[in-house]
Amino acid sequence: MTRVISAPLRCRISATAPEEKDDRFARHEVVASALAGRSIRVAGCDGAAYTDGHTIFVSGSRVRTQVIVHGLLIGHGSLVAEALTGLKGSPAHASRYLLLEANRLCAPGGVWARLRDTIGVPPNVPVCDSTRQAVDLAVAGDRLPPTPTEWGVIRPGLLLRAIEDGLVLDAGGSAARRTSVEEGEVLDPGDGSENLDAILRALSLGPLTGLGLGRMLRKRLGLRRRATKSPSGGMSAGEQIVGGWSGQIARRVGGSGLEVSLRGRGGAAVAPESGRFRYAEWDRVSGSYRPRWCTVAEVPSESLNRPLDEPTMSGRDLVMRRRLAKAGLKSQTLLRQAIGDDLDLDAVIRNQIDAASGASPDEKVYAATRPRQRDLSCLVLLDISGSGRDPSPAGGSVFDRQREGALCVLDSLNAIGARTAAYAFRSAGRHSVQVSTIKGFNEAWSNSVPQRVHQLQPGGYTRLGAAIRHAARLLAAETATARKLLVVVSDGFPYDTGYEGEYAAADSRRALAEARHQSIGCVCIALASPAPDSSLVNVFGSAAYARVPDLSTLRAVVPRLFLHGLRTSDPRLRVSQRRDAALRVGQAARGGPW
Amino acid sequence: MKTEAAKWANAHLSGSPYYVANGSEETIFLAAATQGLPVMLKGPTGCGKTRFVEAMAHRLGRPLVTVACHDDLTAADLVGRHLLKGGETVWVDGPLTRAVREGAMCYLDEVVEARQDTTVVLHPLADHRRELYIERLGLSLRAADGFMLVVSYNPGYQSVLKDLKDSTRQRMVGIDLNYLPAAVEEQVIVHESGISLGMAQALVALATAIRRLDSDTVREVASTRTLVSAARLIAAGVAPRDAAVAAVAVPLSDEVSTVEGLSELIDVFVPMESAARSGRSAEHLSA
Repeated sequence: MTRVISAPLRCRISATAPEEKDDRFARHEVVASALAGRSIRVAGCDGAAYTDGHTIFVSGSRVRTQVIVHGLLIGHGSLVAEALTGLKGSPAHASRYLLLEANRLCAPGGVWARLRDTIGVPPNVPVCDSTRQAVDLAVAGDRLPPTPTEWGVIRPGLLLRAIEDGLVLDAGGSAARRTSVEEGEVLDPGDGSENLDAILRALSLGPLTGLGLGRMLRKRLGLRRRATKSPSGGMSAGEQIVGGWSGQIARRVGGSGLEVSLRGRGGAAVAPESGRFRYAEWDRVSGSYRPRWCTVAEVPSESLNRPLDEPTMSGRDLVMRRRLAKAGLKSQTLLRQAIGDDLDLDAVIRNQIDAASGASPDEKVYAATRPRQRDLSCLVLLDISGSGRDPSPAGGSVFDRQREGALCVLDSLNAIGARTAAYAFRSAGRHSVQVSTIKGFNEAWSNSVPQRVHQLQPGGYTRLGAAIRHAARLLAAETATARKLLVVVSDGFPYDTGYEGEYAAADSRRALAEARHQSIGCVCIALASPAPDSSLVNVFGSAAYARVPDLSTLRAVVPRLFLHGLRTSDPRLRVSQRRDAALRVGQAARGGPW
Repeated sequence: MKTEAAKWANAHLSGSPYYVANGSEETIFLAAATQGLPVMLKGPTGCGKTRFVEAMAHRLGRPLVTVACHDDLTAADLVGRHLLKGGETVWVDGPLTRAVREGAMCYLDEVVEARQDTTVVLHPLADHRRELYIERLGLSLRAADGFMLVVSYNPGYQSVLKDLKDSTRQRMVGIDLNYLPAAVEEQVIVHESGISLGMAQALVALATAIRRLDSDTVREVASTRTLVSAARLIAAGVAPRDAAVAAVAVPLSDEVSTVEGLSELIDVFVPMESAARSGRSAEHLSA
């Protein structure tokens, strides 16, 4: 596969500090998302309510009204560039447009007619047929009732900037956003983005993260604002690689964040290099994926190893094996049982023949369905980042305890007949997430497996999300059992360059949720981890997880942990695709020539 | 035993089942019935697949045999088996065999849930042969004239590993069912529960909003069935808001935050009191 990549790089510079998510408005986010037809956040602000296309900023007591009005406008194509351009520069026109559009979208007889009373549409507002007509009428001088002040305002300039930067997809683009997660696409190297990114990263370390630096960058490096202006937001991942500003993840509030787009000098067509994969990363601030963001390389295990200098551990743990023995069993019909749901007809006939001919008949004439057959694939993902070097309260380092636990689980699963694999991972920035094979799915168990585990050396950082996505891909691609399980053994501290705190936790959570959507059960084991429970919940989300101080505690929690993990991998829990009916309603209500 | 899953639906149906056509599904189904072609129904949970089959069986005047398929459904469960009775084995017809003999309509609900070997039994029945091979009896049974095979499945619900075989699919006439347009769905809710049209409109607007949510928030969306349940609770005297929370929001998600969000959505669309049809919302009054 050869492909020319033109690579506009984008980085984000902002003077504002990352804000914590505001939970007060969580319940309103469902309303906003439902009306908008895509994921929308709700946050507080001072002054009039408005939206930037991602977040609805609300104020005062009429939060519900503000969420409904702005959610409807986002979801029905009212805030598209064509309309906003005509309103730019005149708050009065924008305000009239807000009134006309809200009135149009909840016109009597329409789908949202019920919302008229809730938001309080003033009487005698003319009903427009389309967005275009609403713009014309808003700009024209006709008398209109005043727009209720509690509805807030439309900020055309802010929205236009967001659309231009491709940060906001207007209504039609919401489906595209959903498909923007790519699964392990093979990387075409040679786009030069690594170099540029390194320069940007170096620059970001200084305190000059403000407007001035952005201008300087643009001037000095001949960089310019990205030209993509496609209505879908130009986020089609095949065309561009998005570069990241490391360290600081800024929330765009009221235009204080500056977007700078850089065009790299890519274009060299190079054959894909094997063993490298690109994955999207979840950006919790914008509520969208950063496509092709992380590069995961499968490296030979030797490169991470140290020479063999001590006797290796075997990982054999009979207690753990017994406890795991019930995991992942498929039912199987057993014939000639003494007790069972059905008659085993062959046995019955034999029984009758025996009785008739005077022999003592065999009374085992039933067929029973019991869970017997192992139907489980399991991938153990071991975190070998440098943070594991810390001493563990249980003796040795945290990493020693973790690899001991990982090996025990791997050996036990292998012994009970599951298909197993184990991979170690660490990272050094988003372009270098290294995954090394401890045991592949097709490799038989041998002494070299515990040896490889023993030889692993901790080092580097933890870009947990990318590693999980790669592991999920391996599980999906290389196994065909009905039950699949991903076991993450980590200290529960995702951390890497430009990947920390709330951002890293949200991405890890997201990656685990993605795995579960593929019917892959997830079990997270934080062995000998100093992380508090609250932060583990944040990272592992609703996946089955346990923080255990040592191996014996792990043995005790393993049965429940794995059963819980497998329950979430029930094949029937797969997510259904976006509903056609909903889309049809959205299109019908949108109306207008755009 | 598993044959209990089969039931003679017509026996307990008094009047004609209520079904409103939305597109060409009736025409296609009735044409397939006269031509003896098997039908495959696709559609999301609770959109009316089962009701459609009941209505069609009633229209055609044929008995309906329904089998809810599950993981352990074997070919013997469909076709029949020998049982031990007083020292002798007696052959007992399975639901499929009964339908074949008596010219009934056989409806296999969620057919992908059944084991793959089960569906192979259907092959000679589903093509021009219209025959059921009963291996244990060494018998090939020709389907009576009225026999019709109907299967249903929910494409969003089953596992990748449990897809229908292509050879099975291609023997069927496919009918895609989906949620009804708002006006029709309102009509259905009014008919099924007896609540006022205004309240039905509120419930449908709520469902329309929920169906716009992306699947990160809710795994499944509010089906017509859940709306009818909510409406019936309201008809039984439950406050509309509580009814909608109980029948729509709580079943959709186990996550507290999502249920809270859905409750807020319900507050937006569903009036607090049955009588207050177009009354202003509580928020409006307090503001």
